[in-house]
Parts: sequence; C-alpha cells; structure tokens
Amino acid sequence: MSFIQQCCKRPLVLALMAMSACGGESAFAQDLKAMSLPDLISYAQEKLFAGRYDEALPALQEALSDTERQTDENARTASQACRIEIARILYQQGNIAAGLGYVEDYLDNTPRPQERRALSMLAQGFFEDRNWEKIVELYDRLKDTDLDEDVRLNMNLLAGQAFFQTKKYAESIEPLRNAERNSKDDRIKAVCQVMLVRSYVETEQWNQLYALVRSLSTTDRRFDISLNLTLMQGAKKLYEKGDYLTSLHIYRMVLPREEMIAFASKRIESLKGRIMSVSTPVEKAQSQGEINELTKAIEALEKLGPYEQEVKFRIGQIYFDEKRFYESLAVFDRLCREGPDTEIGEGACFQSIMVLYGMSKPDRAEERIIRELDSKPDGPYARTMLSVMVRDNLIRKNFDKVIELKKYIDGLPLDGEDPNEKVLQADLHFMLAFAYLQTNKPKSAADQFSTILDKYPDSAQLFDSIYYRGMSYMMQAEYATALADFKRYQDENPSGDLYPETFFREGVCLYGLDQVPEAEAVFTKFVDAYPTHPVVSEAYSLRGDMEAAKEDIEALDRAHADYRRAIEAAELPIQASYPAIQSAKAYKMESRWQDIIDLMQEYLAKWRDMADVAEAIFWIGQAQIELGMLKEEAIPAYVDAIMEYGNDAQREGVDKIITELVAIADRYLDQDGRDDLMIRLRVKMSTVEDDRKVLRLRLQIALALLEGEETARALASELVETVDDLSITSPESLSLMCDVAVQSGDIEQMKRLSDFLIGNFDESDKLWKGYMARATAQMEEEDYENLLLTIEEAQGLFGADNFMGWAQIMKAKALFVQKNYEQAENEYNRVLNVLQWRGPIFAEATYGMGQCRLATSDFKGAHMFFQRTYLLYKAYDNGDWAAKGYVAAADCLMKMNRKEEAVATLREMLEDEYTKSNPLAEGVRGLIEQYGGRE
Amino acid sequence: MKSAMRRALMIGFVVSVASVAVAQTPAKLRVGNRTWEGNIVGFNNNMITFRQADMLGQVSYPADAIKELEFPIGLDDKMLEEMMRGRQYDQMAKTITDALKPFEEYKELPSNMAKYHGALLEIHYKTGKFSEAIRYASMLVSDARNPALQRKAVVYQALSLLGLGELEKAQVIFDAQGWNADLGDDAPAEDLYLTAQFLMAKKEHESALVALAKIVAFNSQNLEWMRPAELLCAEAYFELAKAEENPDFYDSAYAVIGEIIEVYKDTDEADKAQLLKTRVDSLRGARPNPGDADVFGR
Repeated sequence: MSFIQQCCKRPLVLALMAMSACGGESAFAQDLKAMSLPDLISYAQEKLFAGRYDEALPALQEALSDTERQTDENARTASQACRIEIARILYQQGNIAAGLGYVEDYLDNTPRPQERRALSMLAQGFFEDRNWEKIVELYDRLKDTDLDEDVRLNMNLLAGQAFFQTKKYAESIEPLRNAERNSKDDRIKAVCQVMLVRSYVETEQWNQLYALVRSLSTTDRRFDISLNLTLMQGAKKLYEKGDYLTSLHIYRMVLPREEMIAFASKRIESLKGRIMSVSTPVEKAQSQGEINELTKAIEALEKLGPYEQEVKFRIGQIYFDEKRFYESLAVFDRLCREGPDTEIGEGACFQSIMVLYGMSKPDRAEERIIRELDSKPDGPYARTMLSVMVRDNLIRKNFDKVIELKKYIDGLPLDGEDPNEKVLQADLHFMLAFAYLQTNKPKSAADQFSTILDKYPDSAQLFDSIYYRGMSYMMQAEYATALADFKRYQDENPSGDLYPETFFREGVCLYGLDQVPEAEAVFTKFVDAYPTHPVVSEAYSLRGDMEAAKEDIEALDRAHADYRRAIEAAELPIQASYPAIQSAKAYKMESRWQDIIDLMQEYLAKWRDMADVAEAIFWIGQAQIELGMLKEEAIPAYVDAIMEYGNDAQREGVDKIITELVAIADRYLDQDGRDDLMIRLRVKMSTVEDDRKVLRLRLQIALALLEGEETARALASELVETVDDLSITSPESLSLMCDVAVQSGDIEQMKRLSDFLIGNFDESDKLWKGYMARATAQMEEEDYENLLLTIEEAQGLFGADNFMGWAQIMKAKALFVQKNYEQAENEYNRVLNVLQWRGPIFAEATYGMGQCRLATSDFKGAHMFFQRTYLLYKAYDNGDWAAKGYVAAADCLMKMNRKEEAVATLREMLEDEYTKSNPLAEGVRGLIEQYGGRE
Repeated sequence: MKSAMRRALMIGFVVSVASVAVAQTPAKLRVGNRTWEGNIVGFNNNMITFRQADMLGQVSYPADAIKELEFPIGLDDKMLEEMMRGRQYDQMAKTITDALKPFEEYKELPSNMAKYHGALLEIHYKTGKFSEAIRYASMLVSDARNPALQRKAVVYQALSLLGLGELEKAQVIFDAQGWNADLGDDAPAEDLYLTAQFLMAKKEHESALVALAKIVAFNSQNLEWMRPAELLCAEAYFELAKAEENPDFYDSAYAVIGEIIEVYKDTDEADKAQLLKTRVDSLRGARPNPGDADVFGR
C-alpha cells in the first residue's frame, strides 16, 4: 500500500471547468476527431462529472494532440491543463507509468500553474514505481523550497518511506518525523511511528526510541502489530547490548497477541460499517485496503511463534540480571506453570531455580531440582540443574549432600554425542569424586575419577582426574597404582599446574612402597626444584623421617636438619608441628631431652597461639620426666596446661595430656604420688568457675581415669544419660561415651555421640571411636550401604592402624549379610594380612571365611577354614572361636557325609583344654549322640 | 428501596406555604425518578426542605429519601486534573474545600460532592494525613452510586489505617475484601498492592515482595498501580536486605530505585525513591567482591 495523498475526482473536474469556460458549449458527438477543441473539453468535463474517466481520457488526449504543437499562449495553457488531467486520470486508473510520462511532459513545458502538484504527482509516480532513488533526488531538490503544506507533507512521507525502503534508516528519520508531526490522518501518523520505531532501533537511537515508545504507551497505537514486532526486535538488541533497563521498558510495552487481534478485529468491524455508510469509491477502497492489511497482519500474527512467552522469558531474565529476584521468579514460575513441557517452560523452570540460588535460597532451589529430576530425569536441563546443585553444595562444603546425589548422577541418560552434555557429565563425576575425597572416601573417589578417564577422555578435567585419582589411591595406601597415575601426569602434562605436586606425591608413594633411596632422591629433586612450593615443608619432613629411620648418628643429624628446614618452610601450623614432633621423637631416641625442651619452646615461640600448645607441653613434660623433673616440672606443667587450655574443647592436645598424665601416674607414681596428683586436680577443679564446663568435665574424666577403668566407664555411662548439650564434651569424654553406647547397644546414643564426635573433632586421634559407634548403629539397623561408606571413611582416615581391625571385620560381615560371599571372604582375608591385628580378630576372620564358603556350599573349603580356626587360634577369647570352629567343622563333615570324622572332631573339642569347658561343649555332647556316636 | 421511595413521595405531598427566613442553597434534587431544580431552604432533623424554582410552596423530604443532590459547585475538573498531575496537593485541597464550603452542611447526603470528596481522600492520603483521609473514606464507603469511587474509598481507607498503624482495624477490611497473600497472578493490581502494603506493615517483607512482583511482572502497563508498587518493592527489598543481611537485596533495591527515578520523573514516587536511595546508601556501605571460591583449592 502506498501511504500518499490520493488524487481525487474533485480537482480533476475543477481544472476542466476552467478550461471549458474558454471553450464554449458542450458536445455530444462520439467522433472525437471531428470535434472542435471547446467541444472536446466540454465532452471531457461532462464525462468527468459523471465519473466516467475512461471516456474522458480519449477526449483529453485528442485535445492535447490538437494543441501541443501550437505555440500561442492559450494553446500551451490548454495543452498543459490536458497533460495534468490525463496524468491524474491515469493515476486514478492505476496506470502510473503512463501517467508519469504526462507529468514529466508537464514539468518540461510552460506554463506550469500546477507545478507543485505536478511535482507531488511525480514523487507519487516514482513511489508507485518503487523508484526510491528518484524520490530521494526529488526530495533533496524540493525540501528547502517553499512548498504547500500538503505537498511538503506528501514529500516527507514519500521520502521517509523511500529512505526506509532502501534501509537508509538514519536518513529516513527526519522526513518521517516531519510527516508524523504534520499529518492529521491517524493512519499516516501510525505508519510513520512504526517506521520511526524501526529506524530508531536500526540506528540505535535508544533515547529517541524510548521517548517515542513512552508517548505511544497511552494511545491506541500500542496495539499496532508491526509496532509490537519492531519493539520486540529493539528490546532484544538493547538486551544484547546490556542496556537492560531500556530493554525492559520496551519489552513491557509489547502486548499479547490476543489484545492486538481483538483490537484489530474491532477496527475491521468498524471499517466494514464505514464501507456501508460512505458513498465514494475512494473511501470504500481505502477502508477495504485497511481491512485487507489488518487481516493480513492478524494472519501473520497468528502464524507467529509463541512470542509472548519469549518476551516474558526475556523480561524474567532482565529482572534476574537486575537482581530483581522476586519479579523474575514470578515471571519464570508462571511460564513454567503455563507450559511445563514446552521449550520455554522448561527453560523457565530452570531459570527459576537459578533465581532462587541468586536469592540465596538454596533449599527452595534444591527442592525444585529434586522434583524436576524425579519427574523428568531426561529433561533438557536435568544435567545442568544437577550440576548447579552439586557445585553449590561443594562450595558450601555440604559434601554428604553431594554424595547423596550420586543416584541422580548415575541415573542421567547420556544418549548421543552432545559435547556439552558430556562436559557436564564429566564435571558431575569430578565434583562427586571431590566430595568423596573431602569425606575421606578415597575408594569411591577413585571410582569416579576412573569413570572420567575411561568415558570422557576429552574432558577438561582429564589431567586433574589423573592426579586426584593418584591421590585417592595413595590415601588407600595403594602406592603402586597411585605412582602410575602421578607418572602418567608427568608424562602427559608436563606444563600442568599440578606437575610439581606429582613429584612430591611420587616421593610419598615410593616411600610407601619402601623404596626409600628412590623416594629420598625424588624429595631432594623436589625441594631443589621448587624451594618455595607450599608442600616443600612436608617434603623436608618426610626426608627427615627417612633419615631418622636409618638409626645412625649422622643420619639423625641430617634428619634434624631437615625437620628444622621443614619448620622454617612451614606455611601452616600443622606443617610446623609435624616436624617438631618428629624431631622430638628422634631426640627421644638419642635421649637428648634438653634438645626436646629447646625445640618445643622454639616452636611455641614461633607459632604462639597457632601452635599445638598441648602437644608441645606434652613433649616438654616427657623430657622433664626423663630429666628427673617429674614432680617439680612435668606434672605441674601438664596440670597447668589442662587448666589453661582445657576449657576449649577443640584443643585436642589437652586430651592427650590427660591420657599421658594417667600413663605417668601408672608408670612412675606410687600410691602417695598418685593421691597427691588427684588432690592437686581436685583442688584445681574446685577453683573452676561454673561456666567453664568443658574444663570441669575434662578434670572429672582425668580423675575418673586415675581412679581406674571401672570409674571411668561409670562416669561415661552417667554422662551418656545426663549430658544433653554435647558442646561441653571433648574427644576423650566422647570416646568413652561412645564405648558405653556400643556396649549397651543403645543405637540412638551411638548415632548422637558419633555424629557429634565426627562432626566436631575431625582431627582427633579418638575419632575412630566415633566411626565405630556409627558403624555399629548402622549394622544394628541393617543399613549396610551406609555402613560400608562409614567404614570406607574410617579406613581412609586411619588405614590399618592397630585399633582398626573392627572396621575390616564389620565390612566383611556387611558384605556377607548382603550375600556377597566372594567379596566378604576377600575382606576377611585382608584381616590376616595385617600383622598388628593378630589376636581374636584373626580367629574371627578365619571363621568368617569358613562361613562364606559354607554359604556357597563349598563344604570342603569351609571345613578347612573352620579347622584352621580351632587349630591356630584356640587360645583367643577363652576358646570361643575354637569351639565355634569345631562345631562348624563337624557340621561341614556331616554335610559331606563324613559322619565318623564329624564325630571325631566333636570328641576332639571335648578333649581340647581350651574348649572342653566352653558353653558350647554341652550341646556338642548331644550332637555326638545325634550323629550316631556315643559319648 | 421501593418503600423508601413511596414514603418520600407521600411526604413530598406535605406542602407547606409557611415562609421561613433561611439561607437558600441552590441545588437540583432527585427523589425517586424525578429531578427538581430549585433551592434548599432548610435542613434539620434529618429533613430537607426544598423550594422548587418559581414556586412558592416548599416540600420537605427525609434525607434518606433523596437519591442525589446536585450543587452548582463550579469546579474546573480539567484544572484539578492538572493540579493533581503537577502535585499541587495543598492548593488543590484548598480549591476543592473552598468550592464545597457552601454545601458543607450536606456533605453526608448523596450528592455530586462525592467525586470531590474522593479527590480530597486521595490528596490527604498522599500527603500523609491519614485521619483526614479516613474521614472522607467513611463518607464514601457506603455510597453505592458509583461503585468505582466506593471501591477507591475502601482502598484508601485500608491504606490510611495501615498508615496509622491500625493493623487490627485494617485486618477487618482486608479479610472482608479477600486481600491476602494467596492472591494469584491474575488478581487485580490494586488488590495485590493492598495486600503487599498490609504484609509490609506486618513486617512480612518477603510475602509482600511476592505480591508486588505479580504487579510488576504482570501489570506493567497499569501505571496507576505500577508506580506505587515499584516504590513499595524497593522498600521491601531494602527491608529484606536488612533482615536477612543479604547484600544482594540492596542491589535489588538500587535497581528498582534507579528505574523509578528514571521512568517516573516528577512524581511522588520518584521523590520518595530518592529519599530511599539515601537510606540504602547509608546502610549498604562498601561491598566486598564475592568472587567464586575455588572449591577444589586450585
């Protein structure tokens, strides 16, 4: 459609009236050639009045042909009038190209009384011909001349459109703005405004755009469909440029399609009414044209994708970017509700979760994530959401929560080769592995790192995974496997951030593998190459340990030198305390007691409050005892340390001093000395203020331990019953309380106490008591899955220390109950490889292996293990294991139909010194009779 | 209703020719379906005495029988609109009060003064004169002739009670109107706004934000409520930042304040936003850069 002022019938007729005034009477003849000029003019005038332009046209053309060659003034005037009227008729008929020729002829000749109108028609002709360049040319020629208001408006309108159509948006603005300002026709104003909006968008004149948009916000123009589409485009551009606020305001103006369609439909109805009421064909045509356009726009709008949702989504994003969380959440929640299975709806659900994280409402975010994961495990954002949740929990150090999400990580389907999804999945495994590492579950961590290495070799976490898997193996004392990973890192990633660390770890592994000279060489290489590395202190300490282990004087001197370097290089208190203590131990081997005192005092002076004061005092005390200063120096120093640091439950060295004090009393003090110590402690306790509850309890424990195990156990039982607020306890009291809870089978207390001990004293030597209580509770509750995790954690911390045999036994038992007999037998077998566990645990493990074989009907194998139990370990636990071994062995023989041997085995039990009076013996006599033997 | 009209018409026939020397107030009087033009010549004992123009006799009507009185108030509505836009509240209040003064005696009766009472109600609320606002609101809440005005009266009555801290009285209105935190996304903007105001008064800032967010997110073209809603939103973010000690909410408050100042220039809300900005500045202080912690220690 052309938005120009149309020629109309009225001026056309008027022009001819003027001509006919000089021409004379009207003519009715049909033979135009025979007519005189006045007749022709009259004839044309008559036809024009009747609206019969087709018939007027030949008469005018004939009149023109009569006059155009004449040179007198009247003839030239008549010719020009004919040209302009012919042109108007042709324009009216839609034959613009032909009409344009007459306009150009008019402008080439004189006189030109209607020159401006002719120029306007010329521009209109160019417009219809889409000859934009000619329009622009004309506009440039005329814009500064004195034009009629109508003509100027028309020129601005045409030129604005010409610029606009040729994408010269900047140039289009001025003429469009003039046209918009000066037109009285709302339709023309509307079209100009829509084009202006677009031109402002294209030329990024945001202030002008915003001003225009605001001025339209209270008018019906806001319902214009093209305007809304242009606004969306502009808002998007602004958003991408980061001008969120302006973008937001423009997005807010975009209307939903229903509103626009309703408005347009109403307008169509009104136009239809107008067509019925108006008389002129031009008006009818105009209304019909507008109806057609509106209908087309509605159709286009209906075909358009769900832009409302897109707009809302973008608005939600802007609110989020602006930290207007609640507004953002309102938008995303609604989109999510309206189309939970649509692309935008799913995106909105995800965004709402991000908003909740932005608001620091992780609980609400997680609730949604879990709901989404449960309902749509294969949803497009499932992996991303999970990744966000895992990462957030890692940052907040909620490692257990990360581990709880493993089932979702494992449950995510990974179809196809989408690289982004693979990256996310590898990330998830990496983060999960880290959570395992942080919670001392190195085996599980290693499994996750292996998954990355096996399944995602292109992952950005590849090298880190190699290193940390090595660390995980190392924590499990699997040094050879760990070493392979560290070497692999060195080979494949020599410029990696963790490259120096791999050398240090290599040394640790070699040391673990007992390849001491090689380890020493690696540590030497490390400290030389990376003298300021954060773990260089540890390297010195470990090299010192190796030297100290050589047990010759020169080596001990080198060890002390390394320990001193380690203390100097230490960046953390623990890096200093370890070599200090190790050095003290070495001095102890040489009986250099004064050196111990000097070293510890130096250490205390350097690290002051950050030092492990209680540990240092412990060593000083030990040295003083050896120097014969037990009563004068050591005991008072210990008691003073308890009094000074004892009210801080986190000072675990105080507990160590208490243990040592009890040991000293047992070893060095006679009854009087012991009584003196207890009196000294009681006196001290009487001075403790009521609010120093931790110290008071520590002193109570110390006194109870000095009284003896029974008293200590009784106190612990009382504490279990009476202490609700565990913040007054320390590892010493908690470990005793855990023991009581385990012995009494009180599952709730086991859980309560172990949770507190593990949760608050993760550096304590007594931590394993907490794990034992927790594991026992889990065993009682048949929660084997978590039991195995607890044991893994405990073993990660304490490995195969001599007090850790219970953990391995419990692990094997859990696997046995889960009918994983082969694995259970392996775990029992591992017990036998740890020499420091030799004792009843060996008997229990051997018996357990027999049980595993029995469960798989391998009676021969089972018999062998039961036989070993009663042959090898008959002295343990008052012969209990041996008795059980006899009975079980006999049972196996019966199952193999070796009745006589079974009876002989049982008889042997009754003769065995260790088992003949065992409670099982009574039943055995009955069994012998049952098997057909005679007792 | 019918009985009241019947009674009014019967009484209307009680014609008195006794002439009483009282000030005459010109008015149009509508009783039943008829309208009379003339003067009020007496108003006591809840009876209006009216003399029709060019008639000697006068008729008395009980006040509750009168459907409407139309006084020649002579206020230029366009000028008042301009004053409201220009925030010339004091002048506007004076202009209206002066214009209504001759008819003050009849303010409790249904009349064309109601819309000006509505304007005074709004002005008094906007200028913090809540007791005055409540006085005008109580004149309008029972006037059912113009439901929109009646609703406006209820709205401002509730808001003014909140302004006075009369939460219990406000609660009665809120309960009756169903303005509560359970309003959905499509609830009218004013209902949401009122609910938010009430929640703010109860210091339930987060719930208030939830209601306000629905106005801002889904009624952005409703400027009448959008403006105050955005201001309240900024205040709620500010309060939440303090209560939860979450510095991000100061940023949120800043974002809303910035928008109000830019978009609603020369409005009460823009002025109040500017003041709020000063309060936020004083409490917010310097913000550390949080940055992302490297949980892997690398």
